[in-house]
Amino acid sequence: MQEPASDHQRQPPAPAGTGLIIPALAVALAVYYLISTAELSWEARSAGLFVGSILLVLCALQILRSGRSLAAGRAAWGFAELFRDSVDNRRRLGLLLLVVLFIAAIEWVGVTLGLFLLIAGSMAVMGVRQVRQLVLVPGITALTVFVLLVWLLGTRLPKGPFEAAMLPLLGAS
Amino acid sequence: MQISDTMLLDLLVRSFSLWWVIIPGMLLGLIVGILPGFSAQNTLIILLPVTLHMGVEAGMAFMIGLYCTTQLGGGIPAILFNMPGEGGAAATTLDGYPMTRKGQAQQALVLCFAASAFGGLITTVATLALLPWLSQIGLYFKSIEMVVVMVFGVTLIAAIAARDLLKGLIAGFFGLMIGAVGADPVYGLPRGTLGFVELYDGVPLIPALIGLFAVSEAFEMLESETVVRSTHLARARSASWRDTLDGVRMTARYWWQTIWTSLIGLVVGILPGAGSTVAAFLAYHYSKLFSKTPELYGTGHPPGVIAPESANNGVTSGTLVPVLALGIPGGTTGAIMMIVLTYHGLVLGPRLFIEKPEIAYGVFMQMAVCYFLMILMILPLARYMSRIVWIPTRFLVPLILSLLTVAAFSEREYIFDMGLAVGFGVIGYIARKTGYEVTAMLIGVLMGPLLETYLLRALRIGQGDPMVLFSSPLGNALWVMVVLALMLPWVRERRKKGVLAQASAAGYES
Repeated sequence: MQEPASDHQRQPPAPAGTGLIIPALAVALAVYYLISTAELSWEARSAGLFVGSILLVLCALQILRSGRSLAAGRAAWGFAELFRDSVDNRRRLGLLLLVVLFIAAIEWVGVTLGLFLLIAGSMAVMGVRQVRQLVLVPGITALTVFVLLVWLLGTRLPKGPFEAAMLPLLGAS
Repeated sequence: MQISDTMLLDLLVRSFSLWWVIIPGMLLGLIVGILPGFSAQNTLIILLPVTLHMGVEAGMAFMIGLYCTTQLGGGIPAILFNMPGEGGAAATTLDGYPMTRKGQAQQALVLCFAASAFGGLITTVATLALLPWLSQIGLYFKSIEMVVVMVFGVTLIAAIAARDLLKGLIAGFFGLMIGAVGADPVYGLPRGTLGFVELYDGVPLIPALIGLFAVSEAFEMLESETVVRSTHLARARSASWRDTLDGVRMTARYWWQTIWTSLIGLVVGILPGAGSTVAAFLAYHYSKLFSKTPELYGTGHPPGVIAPESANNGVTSGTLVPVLALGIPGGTTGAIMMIVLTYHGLVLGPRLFIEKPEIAYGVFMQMAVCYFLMILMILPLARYMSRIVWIPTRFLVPLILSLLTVAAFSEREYIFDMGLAVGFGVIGYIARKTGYEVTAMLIGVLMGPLLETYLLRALRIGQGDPMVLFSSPLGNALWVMVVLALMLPWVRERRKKGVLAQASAAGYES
């Protein structure tokens, strides 16, 4: 009887690049923190030094581990699925761009109109095509936020043309 | 001071008569707990003028109703969407969300509600009985011990939540590093702020929570049609009242688990600053450690929901112990309650139990009544709440992303915080996809400022000598526990592999 293939033979090599993104970010923050606080008093540096030095050691261990996996052929360079051109990744990128656009424009368009456009746009990115759904779901959500947070609770969420038109009608400033 | 049975009965009746403030407080607490942008502390601060105008008993009953239900409410989005409403519910995601994915959202919610209510009730009764002794615990934990508690918390979470210990530790310490960003506490000079004035106060918790959990989960959620796996959707849709009873039965089956994990919450709650997050993870860790089936944890195992939920509700009564018995608040919630009590002319500390025992013990009796009402009111809601996961992700993802981006604004009212939430969301998504545990990262962010406070105090005591961290017998015992917490899962895994290898070798031989 043929012996079953081992795990190493069956699985493709794991991508080493993906496992190093978080350590790279962590090392960047720790190094920046330690360098930028080098001139400060020991009280200001103590926590950063304590945490940063442990973090650098841990990241070095992870890099060593990845290096060993690469050398042994258990891992390969690359980022695998993370940055691959796929429908899901395109949707993710679309949603991310819409949220960034919303944050950049919220001061001018206001929270209600901005939220309506963001939800409608995100739903379209997610594949919703029915116009009724694209209007009703964002409309009801944005109006609920307006009534609860802007009108009743009076939070300082950015106000735009919709709020400027509606609040005086509702007797609020 | 010993309290008589007649007085206890009188307090019980008086507490029930305050239902008219307890129930609105509970309903508000449920909403606040579910929404990640809002916290019990902030809501209590906003409502402080209202509570100050109420009588002392009514004001406290309202705040207690709100505070206790917030802990429970935080578990709801943790179970349904893998997004804890409060830091204390982060551990609930580990088994609660896998239960939802398997079509058992209703049972998971019932476990959460029942464990929360019974856990809270048990610790409240324990506090009433042991108050004079419990109040002494906090006195043994000074700055050195608290540094070890913080390190213990992060390492424990890394060991529990992550499949890979090294990656878990990197995530936890990365979080601690992010938590160290901000102006230094002595001279107010910026550290690691990248020039952003908005980060001088440190990294705000709500955007970090929303980003690391909610935004990153939304990015991951879009890969499937619904939150529930398609193979389990029919089971989820056919859930009935029988499933609610099933959840109650599961809780009853693990009654001992509810008791001892809630007592962990009580003890941790007494320690200043440690809070419900550490308590929940500690309870989860020990629940898994003492379990006969540790391999089931993380796959949707009922005790994995019961342990953190009963512990984070056990914290609620623990938080009030130092406030009432010593006049020292352990956190923001305790401080707000202290303001209300002192506003009404009460002197907190040991004298309160001699001069106004009806207030001191009455607060815990109100808590017991709140937990009792919680069982009656919230348990039946599980059936309806669990239906939300049927909604297709093409609607859920846009709603979650947009509403939580707005919620990130709520804590400090900075547009910058919305961007921060998105930034944390991207980091969280990469972390999830590459095996770095976001829970450990969040706990690090949460504990970073606390660690700094206690570390600075300890170093000042030791005149800058770091060896001061190993100078306390209790602290050293805790260091040993840190090492054990890191070693035990590894030893157990090795033993398990050894047993499996032996079994497989035996199989081949035969």
